[in-house]
Amino acid sequence: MTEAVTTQGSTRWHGAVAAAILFAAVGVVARSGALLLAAIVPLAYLAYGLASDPVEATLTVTRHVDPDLAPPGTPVHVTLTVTNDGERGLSDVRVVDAVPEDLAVMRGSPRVGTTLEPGESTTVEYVVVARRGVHDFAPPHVRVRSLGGASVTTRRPTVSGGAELVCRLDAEAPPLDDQGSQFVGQLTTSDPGEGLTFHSTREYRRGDDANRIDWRTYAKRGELATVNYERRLAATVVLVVDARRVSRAVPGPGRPTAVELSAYAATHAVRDLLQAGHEVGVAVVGTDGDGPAGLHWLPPAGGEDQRARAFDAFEMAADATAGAPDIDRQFAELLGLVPPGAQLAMFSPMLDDRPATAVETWRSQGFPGVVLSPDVITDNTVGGQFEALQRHTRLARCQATGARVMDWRRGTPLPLALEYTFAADKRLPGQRQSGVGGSP
Amino acid sequence: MALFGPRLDRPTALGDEGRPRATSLTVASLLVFVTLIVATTCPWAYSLQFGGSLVPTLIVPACASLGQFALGLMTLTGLVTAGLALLNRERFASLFIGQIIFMPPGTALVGGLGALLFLRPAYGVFFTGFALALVALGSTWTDTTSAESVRPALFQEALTYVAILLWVVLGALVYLAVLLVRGTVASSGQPTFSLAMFLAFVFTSAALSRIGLRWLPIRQLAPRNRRATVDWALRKVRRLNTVVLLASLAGIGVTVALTLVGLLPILYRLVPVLPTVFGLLVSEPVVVAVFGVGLLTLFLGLIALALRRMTRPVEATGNRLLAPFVAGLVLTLGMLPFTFSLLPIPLPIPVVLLVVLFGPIVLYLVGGTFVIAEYLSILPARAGGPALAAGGLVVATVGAALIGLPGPVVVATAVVAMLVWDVSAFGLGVTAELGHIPETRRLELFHAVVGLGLGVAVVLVVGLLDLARTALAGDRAAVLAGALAVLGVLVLLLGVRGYVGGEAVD
Repeated sequence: MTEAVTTQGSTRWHGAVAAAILFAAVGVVARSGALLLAAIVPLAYLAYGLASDPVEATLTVTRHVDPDLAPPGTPVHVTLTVTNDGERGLSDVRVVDAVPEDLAVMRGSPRVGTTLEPGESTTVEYVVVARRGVHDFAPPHVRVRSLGGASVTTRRPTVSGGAELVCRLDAEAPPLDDQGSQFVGQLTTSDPGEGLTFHSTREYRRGDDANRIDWRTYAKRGELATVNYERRLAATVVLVVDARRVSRAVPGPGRPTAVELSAYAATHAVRDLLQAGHEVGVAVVGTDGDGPAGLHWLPPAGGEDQRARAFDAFEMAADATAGAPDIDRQFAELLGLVPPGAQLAMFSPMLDDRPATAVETWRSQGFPGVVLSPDVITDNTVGGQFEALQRHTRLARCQATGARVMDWRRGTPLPLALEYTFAADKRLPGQRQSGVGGSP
Repeated sequence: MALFGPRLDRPTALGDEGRPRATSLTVASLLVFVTLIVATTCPWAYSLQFGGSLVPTLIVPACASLGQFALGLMTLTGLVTAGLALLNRERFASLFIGQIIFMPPGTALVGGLGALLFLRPAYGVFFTGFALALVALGSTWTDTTSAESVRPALFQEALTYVAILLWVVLGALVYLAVLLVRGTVASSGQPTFSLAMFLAFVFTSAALSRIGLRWLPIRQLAPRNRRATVDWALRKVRRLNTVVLLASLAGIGVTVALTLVGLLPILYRLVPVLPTVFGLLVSEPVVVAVFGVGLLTLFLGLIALALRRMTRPVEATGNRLLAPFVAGLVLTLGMLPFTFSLLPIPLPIPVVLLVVLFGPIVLYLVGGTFVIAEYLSILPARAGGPALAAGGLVVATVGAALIGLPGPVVVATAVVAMLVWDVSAFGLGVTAELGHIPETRRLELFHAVVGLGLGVAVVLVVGLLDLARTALAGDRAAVLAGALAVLGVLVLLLGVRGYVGGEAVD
């Protein structure tokens, strides 16, 4: 075990000498034997504090980070176990895990203080919120004191197990495969055809695929019928990430910014849409890019290259520090770049009116719209509650235009948020927009 | 950890700079409590010789004594501690209640202990030590054991004291004025003078009503659909009030003018009933009725003003200036009569007056001494509470020895002093290193049990030594031998300390 050890003495009992002298002095003056004997008490405690042996501790430390690869905003559970492998009990062990500076503890505490018998372990459990980047956990500080506290040894023991947390926009956790095809670009038409979801049956025509024959109808009636499925179309989807300064807000120290969360959601949307065969374009609003009006613009395309380019754009959006020269012009230019019939998906925390106004404009131009809004507002203050109310009003404005709105509440995993949204959609089928260029 | 009721410490108390961990502080508090109870209620109290008349009424040699001096001491120290905590707040209500429960109990505590120190020094030392320990521990719980916390409380207390004096002086002046007016009216018996006085009363009452009306939220409380009517009525009342003010003022002027010209005597001759009527105008029922209107309006206005102030968003500076004056009024009206109602207790009036007059000043000086001690680093900045509590118990140990309590009790008090320091300082260290969130109860309890075990062992050993001392040697020889032994141990420990310290650093 490679570890740094420092030892220091304690000055806790200096006052006891003064007390002993006072007792002795008053005892002599007042001729009080009891008081003279009482002078022994502080001296006994002084001796107890000074005479304790320096601590020799043999400690084993293991750390477990779960998950060690996570997208932004994901709660990451860290478990640090300290075991006393020595033959002597330790009367005072204090452990402080070295949480990476960029991360904040959301639940639990990275600190513990306890006693440890030989072979006994103590566990520190806490939860941090993942932020984009690679975060190294340094060895924890372990401070061991002697019985009287005179001798203090501080160690930085080597740790076995997890030593880093990798947070990436395209991290696989949590899995999105199940929900990905539902997110955006699921374009169903009223026309029957080939697909996966049952639509209707019709009379068999010569040349129909054998696997589309409805064998149950044939068994019942002896007539051949062909199953029609909901026809799915490849769509063009443009993902708009709101990376303006106002959107780089965080709900607390050590938490990912709203732009990071938006970029994470957009990354998964790109992957799922490309897997489903759709064409995907990307626009980053609010940074000074090389596209028209300072937009970062990727024209709609398919394939792995497009995915890599989109991922680079999202990383750039999450890292951006500079602002855009003219935001309104960026939104205006975007409409000119989007091909006719494309869907627009906005990823924004909706902290001001601009994104809502943009969605209203898109819908008025006949573009189907989707809004995914990560919630980064803390509502434990009156100001926060007011901001939250304003944000909900903006989301309602978007919803009123017919756009599908997803409120990604803090602490809810993205797949779960999507599941809730689609469950709500199923309950309210009349409000669901459909078709390419669906009506507002 | 909230023991009961609302928390008195601020949320900052839970930070790394706050009070010690709850387990350690609970152990320390329990030790002090048990020691005080044991020292003041155990059977040996029966054999104590009380000479004066004060102490026997306070320390009853039975379990009932718990309900006497010890409980009284704990109640007063508890109130002082709670008041100290509330005086660090910003809301008017907190500051007001803080004033009410800080100064009177503090004055009583200082006065009582001062009297005890003067009359029975040994008991004074004993109970002063315990009072110090209790206040220190209490304020450690509420995280107010620092100069930053005590200073604003002292400032508030000084303002309240000044306010009480001002209210007393004002009350005395009003009382004297009433006496003077009544005496003059009664002795003069002149109708002209009676008329002038009546007009002056009307003017004063109208002026008071005007002020009270300004503060009363009559319009705000009226239903919205009746606002216009209420506005009209209020305008009418104000106009009437102005007319009364001007008319009474003019009436005084006219009365003076007619008197100077000499027309009034002629008028009295023409209308013989006038002197009788003017005389009736200054009769008590009329004066009370006239003044009652003004005073009642002013009183209601003041209540409205106070309610408005209490419900207004926190304005710390304004509240800190206003609360002492309102508390001063309440204390003047309520506490001073209460204090003087205690006079049937056989206490000389000068003593009561001295306590009431100088008690707050002594309380201020005691607090000031604490602040200066912390500024001079005599008390550790972050461990002031535990240090003061331990110091108080050291003083109590001396007092216990001087009273003549049995040796084991004296030694046990000394042990508790060391334990309070040990456990509290340990809790502070844990707080500074780990904060208040992690679970550390096992660590704290283990440390407390080790310290307590050592204390019990020390008490047993020293008890045996005490037995040997009293059995084998004469009292004087034993004292001399003990003093030499302690001196020797001190010298030896200094050397050992250097050795161990050097080894630890190496």
